[in-house]
Amino acid sequence: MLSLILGQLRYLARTPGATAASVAATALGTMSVVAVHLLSEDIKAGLDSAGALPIPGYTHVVRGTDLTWDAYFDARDRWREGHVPRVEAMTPLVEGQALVNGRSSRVLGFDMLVAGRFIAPGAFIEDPSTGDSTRMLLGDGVVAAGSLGLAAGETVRAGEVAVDVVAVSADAGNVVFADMPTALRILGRTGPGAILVRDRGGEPAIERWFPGSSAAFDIGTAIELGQGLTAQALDEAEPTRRFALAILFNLGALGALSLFVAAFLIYQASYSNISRRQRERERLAAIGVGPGTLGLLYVAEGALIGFAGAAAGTLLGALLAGYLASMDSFAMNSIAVAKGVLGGVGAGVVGAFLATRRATVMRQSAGPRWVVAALAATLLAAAAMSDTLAAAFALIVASCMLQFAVLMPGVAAVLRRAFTARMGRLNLLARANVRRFALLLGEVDIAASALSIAIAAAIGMGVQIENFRADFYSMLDQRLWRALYIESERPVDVDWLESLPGVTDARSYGRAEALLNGRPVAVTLGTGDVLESRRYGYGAALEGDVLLSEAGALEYGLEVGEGIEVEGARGARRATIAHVFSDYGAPSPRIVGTFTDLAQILDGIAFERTSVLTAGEDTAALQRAIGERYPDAHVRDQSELRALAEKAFDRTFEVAESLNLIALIVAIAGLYNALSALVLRARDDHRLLYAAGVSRVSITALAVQQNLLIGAVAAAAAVPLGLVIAYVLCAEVNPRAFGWSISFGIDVAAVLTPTLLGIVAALLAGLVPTWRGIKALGGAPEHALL
Amino acid sequence: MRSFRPGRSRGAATLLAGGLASLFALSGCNDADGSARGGALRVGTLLGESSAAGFLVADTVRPFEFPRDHGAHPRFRQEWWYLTAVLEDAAGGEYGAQFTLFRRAVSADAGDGPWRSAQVYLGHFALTDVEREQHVEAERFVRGHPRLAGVRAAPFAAWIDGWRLASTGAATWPMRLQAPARTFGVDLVLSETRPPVPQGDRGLSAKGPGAASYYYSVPRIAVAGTLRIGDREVEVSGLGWFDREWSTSGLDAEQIGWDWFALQLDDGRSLMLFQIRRRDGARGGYDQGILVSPDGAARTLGGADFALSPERVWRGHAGTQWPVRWRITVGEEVFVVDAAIKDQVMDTSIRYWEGVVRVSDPAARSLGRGYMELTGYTDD
Repeated sequence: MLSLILGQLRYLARTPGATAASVAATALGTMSVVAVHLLSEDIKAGLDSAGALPIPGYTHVVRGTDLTWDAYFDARDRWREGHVPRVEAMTPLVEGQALVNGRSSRVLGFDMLVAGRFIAPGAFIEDPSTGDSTRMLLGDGVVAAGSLGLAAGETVRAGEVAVDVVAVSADAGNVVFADMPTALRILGRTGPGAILVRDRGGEPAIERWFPGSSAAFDIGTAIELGQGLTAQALDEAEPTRRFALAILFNLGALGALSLFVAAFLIYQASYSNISRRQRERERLAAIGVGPGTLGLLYVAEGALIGFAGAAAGTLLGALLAGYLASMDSFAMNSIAVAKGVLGGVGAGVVGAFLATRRATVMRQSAGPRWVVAALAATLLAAAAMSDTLAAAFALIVASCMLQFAVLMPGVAAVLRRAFTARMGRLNLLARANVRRFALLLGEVDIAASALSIAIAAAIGMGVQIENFRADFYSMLDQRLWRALYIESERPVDVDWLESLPGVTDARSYGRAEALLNGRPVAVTLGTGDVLESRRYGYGAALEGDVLLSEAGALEYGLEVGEGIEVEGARGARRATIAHVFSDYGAPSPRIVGTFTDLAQILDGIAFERTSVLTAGEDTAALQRAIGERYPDAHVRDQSELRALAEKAFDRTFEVAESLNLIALIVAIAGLYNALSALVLRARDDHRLLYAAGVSRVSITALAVQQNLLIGAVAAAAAVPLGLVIAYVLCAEVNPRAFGWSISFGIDVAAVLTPTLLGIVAALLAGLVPTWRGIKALGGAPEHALL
Repeated sequence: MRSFRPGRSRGAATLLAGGLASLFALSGCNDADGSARGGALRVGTLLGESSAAGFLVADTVRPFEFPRDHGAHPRFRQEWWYLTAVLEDAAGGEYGAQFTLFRRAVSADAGDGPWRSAQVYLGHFALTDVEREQHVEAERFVRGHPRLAGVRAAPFAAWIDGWRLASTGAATWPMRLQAPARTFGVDLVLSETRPPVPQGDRGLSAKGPGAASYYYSVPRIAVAGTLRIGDREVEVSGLGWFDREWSTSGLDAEQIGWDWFALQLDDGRSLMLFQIRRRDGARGGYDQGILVSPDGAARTLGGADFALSPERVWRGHAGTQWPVRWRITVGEEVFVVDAAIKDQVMDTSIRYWEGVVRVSDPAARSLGRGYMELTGYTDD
C-alpha cells in the first residue's frame, strides 16, 4: 500500500503544472470561502456596533409603544423564576434622538448594572480606567461615540441635560450610551422603549457557520416572555440588519460558488490524470490491486490536493479579508479554518471521487450526463411546485446542472457537426483547426462547463448586486432621506419651516391604524406629491389612490390596479392600489396615502415626523432655530447616518465584486489545467502541421483561436444562464429569504465584464500549454515527411 | 466579619467594593445563573474607591434595636445579610445552602428616584449536595430599586432580582427564603430558636486600626423546606446561621484575608470564630469568636482564647491552595473541622471558598456541622 501511495505522490510530482493548477484552484476557492466568512463576521460586528442597536451580545428585542415598566419587571420576574429558560440576560432599553453638543445623536439607555457586559473592557469603552461608572450611575455620565468628536472629561449638553462624557467608544456611530435614568432624562421619556434579551443558545449555529443564513431561513425564532410579550430575533426586528444579512447571505453563496467551481476543476484534473494513467491502472490490476483500492488512492490524491489548496487558501483568505476590510490585525477563527479545510478537502474528495467513477466505472458513456439532466429536470419540476427558499436555490442548481449536462455538450455537438459538415471545403490548416477544436470541446467539456458556470454565476451575482445597490439606495431614499427629521408630539408648522433660510422643502407625516378590506394595515399619511411618491418607486402624485407595501400585497393577495376599501374608525373609503412598494422586509402590511384622502376616515392619527430638506450641508443653525421654537421636539440630521450606511454597504459591494473576480480566476485555473492535460494529444496535430510546413506562428495562432473559441462558447452559453441566475436571485431567492424582491434590471456592464473576462480567461489559460506544445516541436520543419 | 475584602494585592479594598467593581469590569457575568465565571477580581477600576465622606462610621458601642436593625443602614457604606444552613433529607443525605445579600452605597447621597439609587446589591446563592459531591452557585447584581433589590426592616424582606428572604407574617420570624435559579433552587422556612447574639464588644466588632463594624448573629435557626438541584427535588430540614453586619471602613493594607467558622455542635452549643490573616503571617490582634451555650448564654472569645491551624490543603482551580481541614483549639477543647466536600469554591466574580464542614474531635468522633469561609487565597 505504501508503494502505491508513493507512486501516487511521484506521479503528482511528475506533473507539477497540473498539480499546481488543481491546488491553486482549490486554494482560490477556499480563499473566497474563508475571506467571505471573515468579512461577514467583520460586517456583522460592524452592524452590532454601528447598526440599529449597537449593543453586542443581545439577540432578541421586544418593542412596543405601549411597553410599561410593569411589563418589563413582570417579564423579568418570570424569567428569574425560571419560566423562560431560553433567556440568559435581559435589560430594558430606551432609545431616541437628541441634540448632543449641537449634533443630532442617537441616545441609547439601558440598565447599566444588569447589562454589565456593555461596559466590559473592549466592548465599547476603549479604556475602562478613564471611565467613571459611579458618575454614570448617579450623575449624568455618558459614553459617547468617537464620531461625535467629544473627549472624556467634557461636559456637554444632551437634550436639556448637562452630561459628563466619562469615556469615548471607538466603534459606535453617533451614539451616546447612558444609564437608564440619564437616558430617560435626555430623551424626556418615562417608559422603556424596548426590552433586550439574550438567548442562552446565542446565535444559531448555522448563523455562526453561514452568516446571513438564519435570516434567510427564519431560524432565529422568537422567544415568548409571557403575558403577550414576544421577543423577536434582532435579525428579524431590524430591517437594516436584515438587509445587511441578505447581502452577507448572497456573498456566502458567491464564496461557496468558487469552491463549487474548484470541485469541478479537481474533477476535470483528476479525470484527465486517471485517463492518462490507464496503462498504470492495468498493471496495478494485474498485480492484484482491486478497483476499490485504486479508487481510494485517487480519492486520497484528491483529498491531498484539496488539503494543500485549503491550507494555502485559508491563509490567503485571511489576508484577502484583512486587505478588503482594511483590518489592522490578522483575523482568523476556528470556524473560518474549519470551513476552509472542510471545503477544500471536500472539493478535492468529491471531485476526485466523481472523476474516478467516470474514468473507471462509467467509461465515457453518455449515461452520467443524462442522469444529471434527468435529475435537473426533476429538481426543476419539484422547485416549480414549492415556494420555499430551498426551492429557489434548487432552481439555480438545476439550471447549472442543465448547463453542464445539456447545454454545453449540446453546443459542442452542434458546433462539431456544423464544422464537420463543411470540412470538405476547408484546407488542411482549417480542417486541423476544426478537428482540434471539436476535440478540445469534447475533452475539456467539464472545464468549459465550469468556466461557463463561473461566468454565469459572475453575471448573475453581478446583475443582482447592481440591482441590490440600486434598491439599497432606494431604501435609503425611502428610509433615510438626506434631511432633517423632526420628531414631535404636536404638529410642526410646515409653512414656518419653509420660510427659514436654506429650507427647500418641509412636509409632515402621520400614522394610524386601519382595516384594508377588513384586515389590519398600518397607514402612513403624507402629502402624496411626486417627490414623496418617488421615494416609494412610484413616479406620479397620489390622487385618491394609495401605495401598498409588498408584504401587504403578498399577505392579502392584492395587485396594482385593484380596488380596495380602507376602513378607519370614522368611516370607509374606496381607493386603488397605484403601486406596490418594497418595504424591505418589514413584516406588517402598510399603505401610504394622503392626509387629504384618508385623514377624514381615520381616528387617532399620530403625528409621526416632519422632514426638512435643505440646500446647504450645515444644518446646525436650522436645528437651533427649530429647537428654540419646538423645545420638546427631537431633531436629527439623517445625512450622517446615511453616509455611514452608504459607506458600510459600498464596502460590501466591493467585496462582492472581488469575489466575482475570484470565481473567474478559479475557472481560469481549471481551464489551464484541462488544456495542459491535452498538450500531449495536441502535440501530434501540431507536429503534423509543422511537418506540413505550417510555421510555428501559424500553429500558435491556430491554438489561440481554438482557446478563444472555447472561451467564446463557454461565455456565450453563460449569458442566458447568468441572466436566469440573476432573475431567480432577485425575484425568487430574495423575496423568499428576506421578504422583498429586488427589482430586476439588466446592467450591461455586469453582463459584459464577466463575459469578456471569461473569453480572455480562456485565452490566457491556453497560452502556457500552447506555448509548451509549440516549443516541443523541435527545430526546422520536417518537409521531407510530406 | 465579612465586610472586609482580603485583597491580597490591594489591601484595604472591601469585599463589596471589590465585588461590585469587578462586576463592572467583567463581561457578561451577571444575569447568568451557574458557575465557572472565572472570578477574575479587578478591583475599583471603574466603580472606584468611593469616598467614606458622608457615611457614618462604626466606632462606638450602640444597642441593637429590632426589627429596625434587621433592615438596611444606608448611611453606612456596606452591609450584608448572610444565611447558611446545613440540611438533611429523610434518607440522611447532607446538603448545604448559602444565601447572601450584599449592599454597597456608591455615594452617601440618597439618590433621586427609583432608578437613581446610590445602593447597589450583589446576591450570592449556592447549594452543596455532599453525597453527590456537587456544589452550584449563582450570582445576581442590580441596583437598589423597588422591583429589583432592596431591604425592608418590618416586616422583614430582603430581595434581589427574583430571590427573596422575607418574614412570612407581621413578625420578623419565621422567614421564608425563595431562591430559584436556572438549575437549582430552594424554598425554605426559617424559624428563630435563639435570640440574636451581638459579636465583638456588645456588637461593635473591631477589624483593624480604626476599623470596625456592627455585627450580630442568629445561631441555630430551624430550617425546613424544599431544595432542588437539577431535576431532583428533596424535602430537607436542619440548622441555619444568620449573620448581619454593616460598616464603612475596610481592611488595612497588611490584612490579606480571613478564615471564618460558624459551627453548630451536637451538644447544643454554637461556636463562631474568625481570624484575619496578615501579610507577614503574624496575628493582628483582631481575631474574635463567640461561644453560645444551649441556654443562649454567650462568651466572647478574643484571639488569645483560641488557636486555628490548617491541617490539609486542597489545590483547586488555577492552583489555588485552600486549607480545607483545620484544627481549632478553644481552651482545653480541640475541634477538627473538615470540608464535607473539597470543592465548594464560590466561582463568582469574587472567588472564595464557602461550604459545609464537619466537626469532630481528634479521635474522629462527630461533634457537629457548620459552615466555613476562606477568603484571600486567590491571586486574582
